[in-house]
Amino acid sequence: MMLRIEGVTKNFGGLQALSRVSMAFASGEFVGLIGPNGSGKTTLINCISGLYRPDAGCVRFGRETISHLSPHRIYRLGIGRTFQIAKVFNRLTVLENLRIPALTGGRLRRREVEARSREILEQVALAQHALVNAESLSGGQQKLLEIGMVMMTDPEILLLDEPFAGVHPELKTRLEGYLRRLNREGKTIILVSHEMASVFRMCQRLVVLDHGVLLADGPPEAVRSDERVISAYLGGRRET
Amino acid sequence: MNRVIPSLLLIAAAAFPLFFRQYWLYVVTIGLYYAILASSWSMLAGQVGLISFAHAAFAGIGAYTSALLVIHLGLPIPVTMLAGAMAAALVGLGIGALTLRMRGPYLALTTLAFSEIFRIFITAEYELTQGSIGLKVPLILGGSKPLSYYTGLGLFLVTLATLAGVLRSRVGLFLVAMREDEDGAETRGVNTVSYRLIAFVLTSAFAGLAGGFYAHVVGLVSPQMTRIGEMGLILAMSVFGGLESLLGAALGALILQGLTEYLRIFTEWRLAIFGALVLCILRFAPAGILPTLYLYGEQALSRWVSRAPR
Amino acid sequence: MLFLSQLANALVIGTLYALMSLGLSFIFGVLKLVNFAHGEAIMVGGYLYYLLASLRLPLPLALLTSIPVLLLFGMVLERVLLRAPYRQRMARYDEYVILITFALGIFLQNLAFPVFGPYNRQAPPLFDGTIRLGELVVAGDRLAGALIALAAIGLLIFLLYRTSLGKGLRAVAQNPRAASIVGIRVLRMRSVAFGLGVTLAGVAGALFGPIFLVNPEMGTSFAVKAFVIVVLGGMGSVSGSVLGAYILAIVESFGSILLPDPTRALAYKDAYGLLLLVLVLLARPQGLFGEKERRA
Repeated sequence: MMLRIEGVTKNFGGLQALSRVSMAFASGEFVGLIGPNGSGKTTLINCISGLYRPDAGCVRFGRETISHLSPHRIYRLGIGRTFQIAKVFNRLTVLENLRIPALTGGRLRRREVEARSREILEQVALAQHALVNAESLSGGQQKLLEIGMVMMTDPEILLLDEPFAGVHPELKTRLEGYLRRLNREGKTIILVSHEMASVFRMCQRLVVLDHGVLLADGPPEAVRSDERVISAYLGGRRET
Repeated sequence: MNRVIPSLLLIAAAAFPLFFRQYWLYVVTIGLYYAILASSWSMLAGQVGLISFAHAAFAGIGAYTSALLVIHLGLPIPVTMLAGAMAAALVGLGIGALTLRMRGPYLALTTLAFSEIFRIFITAEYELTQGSIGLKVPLILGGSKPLSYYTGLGLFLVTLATLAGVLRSRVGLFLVAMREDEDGAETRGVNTVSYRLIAFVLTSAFAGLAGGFYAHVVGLVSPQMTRIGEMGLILAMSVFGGLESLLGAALGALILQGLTEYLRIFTEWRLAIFGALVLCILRFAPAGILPTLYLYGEQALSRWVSRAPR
Repeated sequence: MLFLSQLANALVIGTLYALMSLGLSFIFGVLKLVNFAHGEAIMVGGYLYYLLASLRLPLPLALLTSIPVLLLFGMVLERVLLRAPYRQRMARYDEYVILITFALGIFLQNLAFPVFGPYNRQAPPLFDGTIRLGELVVAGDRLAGALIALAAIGLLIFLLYRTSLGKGLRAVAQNPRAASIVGIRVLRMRSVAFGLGVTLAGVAGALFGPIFLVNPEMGTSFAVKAFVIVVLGGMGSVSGSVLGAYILAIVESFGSILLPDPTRALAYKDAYGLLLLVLVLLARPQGLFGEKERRA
């Protein structure tokens, strides 16, 4: 198991956003992280990527505990993430956006960075937009650019927060294809999405959160027929 | 076009002492002190988005460090000026390490508190600093006005070149990205805290350098130069010239410094007038007066060109 | 005995500090900005009381008259400098508010120089003479100042927790969007909050006037103290500000005993705040009562 979440709890004021959540991910898995709105999916992603520090519990990557590290360190260790609303740098060009992650660690040389960004531009189909500012891309293209940025340093794990939301159907197919390919090449992908069709099509395993509690974890068919999951999605309130 | 204006400015600056010898040469030399302060401060506030109210205090640190080293150790002035810059950078490192981990107004609050306490310190430690009377300091190259001017011009150009170089490097790219989206930059591997710290320490060092220069041009270092009003003047100059442009801020400094001398008749009121001006600019033309005028000028010019006979 | 009189003095000054920092903390709570012109609001209050008193108005009346003037002054400032940028979601708003309030302070300071001259003025004390409690002696003007400050703090707490205006203000402080959905006029509340913050500072300035001196630069050192206090107490926390004020006053009061040289002791009285600030930033940056900021 390369990524372990061990008893992670996170509170905001009186609200318990995550309550002793534990799970583990093996290398090369394609996992869907689902649950109703406000169930704690994004909070969990924020805890793994270092934007939040858990109030209790920890996150381990390989042998290392990473939950006290800052986000840039976690990214450089090989865990990349995207955001619900794509975070791209609007006033920089697509190419400059791609360069930033590659230049930070000081690992790649200029020429390697250029070669790598050309390669990524092709993969995310933005080659003809290389020199325009990111703000003039469509929402879907920004999502692709964001994944491209994360991929610049070839991380082992990808945490994708709603990558399909607001994406044009044609681009969505392309995006699905790209994610499948990355997974085939050995990337571990953790996908948060409300698009159940895509999730069931792509993921080998589903993890369900509800009100900050881990509800189910297993193969899609099993999770689909789990009664607690059904009642959570049908709006049945659990007693707490 | 982009190279014409700077080249003309440079020629004008180089030839300036041929035409003005005494009073105005001195005024512009002091103006260069403010130009270094304003351009470095505007880089920090305009490009990085960090507001420090200790820039005048850092100049004071540079001035006192340089002065004390010359007086007590007899070191040559260039060495002591560099030491002044280092001292300011060191204090900047301390304040930055303390406050830049957090977002929000902590840097502004702490730097303001620091400036006030620094002023109290140099006023109170009479044996060391001669208190509010100030320290008498030897002048650059025996006090030759043209040579002081050229020294200032050289330091100013070094400042501009260094800061512009940083902005054009990958560090500059990271700084732009951080301003656009801090979490975005951080989760793509940019160590935002340390780049903010680098920017703060670097600009503080230039403030210290400017302070050392000022000390050896004026020949007197006193707590006056660290007053909050001086900080207000630096802010006014940067805002006047445009916070997002190094050269603009420097020009703003020279223009306001010239105006200050020109408005001597209104001695008492001129700082109030500047204050009102800054409030108006910030509120109604946040890009700064010079960029706004430049924009209007360009539009007028292009309208005039398109109307010209074919 | 020295201990007791220092403590009494610290409690008296601490009450005045509490009043002045509540103004800053209150503005931060509702408008989510640090008013860098806070010191100049104190200075304006000091001069206002001085002017009204020199019109031979009865002193309590002079103090009372200054309240509506300060309130209006603060509300107008908010209206002119802060409202439109907030409504239009100006780019770089966070930096704008720091710059504009600082520039406002510089402007007021530089305006006070030609208008009032650079000299120190001393406002007449509300109460002359000294109070004796056994061997303990407290200057009457200080005690009167502290009692008035205490009353003003009580009034503010009443306003905040027992009136509908206070409810509106607290609602906006907690969540402006939700407040506006339930029909609270957010813009007006912001304006009132800024006015109230300036008033609290101004009244504190009026009470400082007789004890310390009134001059155009008097605000700076008080503002720095107020900054230290709100960071110490936790930004925007009312009880934190009050506690922070007393802590600072006590540290200043006893800190000055530690320095043997009396001129130094006097000069460095204002410097203890920075020491306290550094300690807070190192150990507990969110302040005593502050919550950690939620990121992203």
